[in-house]
Amino acid sequence: MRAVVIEDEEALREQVVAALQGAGFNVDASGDGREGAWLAREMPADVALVDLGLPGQDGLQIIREVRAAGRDYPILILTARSRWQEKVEGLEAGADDYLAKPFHIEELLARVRALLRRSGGWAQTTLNCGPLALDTRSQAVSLRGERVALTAYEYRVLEYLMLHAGTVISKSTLTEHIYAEDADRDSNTIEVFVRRLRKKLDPDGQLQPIETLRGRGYRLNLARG
Amino acid sequence: MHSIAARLSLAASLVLAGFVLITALALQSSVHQRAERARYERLQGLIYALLGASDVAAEGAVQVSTAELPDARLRQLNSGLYAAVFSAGGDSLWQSPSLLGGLSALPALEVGEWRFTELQRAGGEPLMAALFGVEWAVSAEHSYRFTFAALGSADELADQLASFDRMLWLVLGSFSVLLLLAQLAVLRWGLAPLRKLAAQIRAIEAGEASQISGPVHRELRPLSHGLNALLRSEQAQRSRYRDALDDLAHSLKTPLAVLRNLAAERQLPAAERALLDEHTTRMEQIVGYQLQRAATRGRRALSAPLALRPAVERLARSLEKVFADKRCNFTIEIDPALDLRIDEGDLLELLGNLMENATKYGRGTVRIAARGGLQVGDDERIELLVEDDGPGFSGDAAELLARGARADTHSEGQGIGLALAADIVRSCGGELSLQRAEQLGGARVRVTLPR
Repeated sequence: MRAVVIEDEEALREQVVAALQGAGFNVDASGDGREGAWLAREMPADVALVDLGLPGQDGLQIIREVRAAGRDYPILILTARSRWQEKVEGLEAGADDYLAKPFHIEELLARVRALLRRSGGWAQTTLNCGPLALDTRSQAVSLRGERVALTAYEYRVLEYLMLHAGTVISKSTLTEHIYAEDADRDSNTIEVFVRRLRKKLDPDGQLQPIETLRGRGYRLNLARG
Repeated sequence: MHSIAARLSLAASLVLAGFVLITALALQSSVHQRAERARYERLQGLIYALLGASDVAAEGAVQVSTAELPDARLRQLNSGLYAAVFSAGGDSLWQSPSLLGGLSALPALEVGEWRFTELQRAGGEPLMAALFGVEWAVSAEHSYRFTFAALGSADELADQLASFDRMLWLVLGSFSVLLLLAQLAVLRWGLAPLRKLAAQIRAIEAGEASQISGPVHRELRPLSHGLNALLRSEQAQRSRYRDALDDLAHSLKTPLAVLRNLAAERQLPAAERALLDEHTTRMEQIVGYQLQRAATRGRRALSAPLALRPAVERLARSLEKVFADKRCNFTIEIDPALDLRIDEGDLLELLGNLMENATKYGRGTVRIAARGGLQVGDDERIELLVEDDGPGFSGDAAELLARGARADTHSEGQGIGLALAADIVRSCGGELSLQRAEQLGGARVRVTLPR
């Protein structure tokens, strides 16, 4: 998952970034409104956390620009001005949720996960696809009730595919959302993760959870439910 | 008397009426006196002429030459002008041909005495009479005493005077009406600047203007300058206050967020982390509550009325987004024309807190109803109900409402939002009470606000 964080207070930004990275996110962060707006528009983000009071360009305007550019990923407002007028204006500008400062970092992570779930069309915190279950809070995956041990990258690939279950995800999209900006972007490693996932989730080859569409990408083929 | 125009009109009308009345009475009395005196003087002249035309015989008989009579009317019967001569004893010795029939009793006169009086003819006609006592010597040792009388019809003079009176009252009355109309016009013109000022203040009240503008008359300049200064300082102070609060909120909350997250650091001992967390939470609640309270503007006299329904709809849309998992169902029963005078930020804050609580603690169904026309004392209020289908309020309502003020509890439950809402309602001069929703079965907050 890829998150954009736009927050001008350095200490808070670092805490948020560290917490998101700890939760398996790739984070692009900025403390400046203009730079943040560019990140939010141009980066392949899955979610953005935007402070309303920013130097350079204010948060409301960034949100409007992102929506005007056709980007529809969820946006969480972080605001010190917790008056309803600002919340309503932010939500009307195109944000999806707000979090008033100061906040518990766990609450922030829970809200971000909930937004991601909702944007993938999921109502519950646990994503169920066929016999496969993925708990977004504990980041645990189980198959027919049996816990499956995954590495961090394997989990990220599976979470992304499950959130977008039924949709074709290209290798480059997966790469963008799984890796940090400066990481090695060899798409072959994605193939390696997918192969390992198939082995762990479907050792006897009966379930076929991840379909490969040649030249187009991957699709999680288990029914949501 | 609450109108300056009415006061001035009344005073002017009273002065005018008094002036016209006194003038008319003085004029009337003076003219009547003059007319009467002129009439008597004419009758007196007639007596002198009569004396010239008279002759007395030695035995005392009076002869008046008809041809020498000074006025032709004396020869016509009932012409309105009469003459007569009486003996000292009151017997009629001679009468002019115009006079037929006797006269009422004559007063006795000294020789040389003039008397102006009213007499009556036998038929009842009132007459003005000039009487003159005369001693007429017919020889050196013998003389007679007579009373010469000249009489004019009193009706004739009365008619003339009555006609004069009518004319007098008519002219003065017309002048009064004209003067009064002129005065009203002057008054209207003179008070126009005040009316203009009142209209401008109404425009400020309606939110169509922010200052009194345009040329102002010299006498009103101190007032308009004072009002403008007051408005400017109020606006400036309000925005300064808001900016200061905003800065304070920003500068306090971000470090608090850093502290709060420090409390989650695993390196710290658990007991210290808990302590840090507890106190950060307290600080956070106190700061949050007091800042919200301070940002509450309360009721504003000089502001345009705000429609209630659009604000409720905006919040409902926002909450639907935030609580998407709950699949909220907002029922809004508010007349689109219902409005009230309140700061927009306060209205959104009040409704936001109540509707968020209802959404959070209910099972998704929220009813917001409002109606106007609630009469409390002299002012009209609106009643607002926010209901949910949750478990309802538990415990003491007063304690729930006071929770925010103490800010010493950990739960962010209904308390802070409710206490804030109650504060806003209080500062607007309204009332807030906690009830049970009849249909939905959950909590109901009832708010009344002045319109």
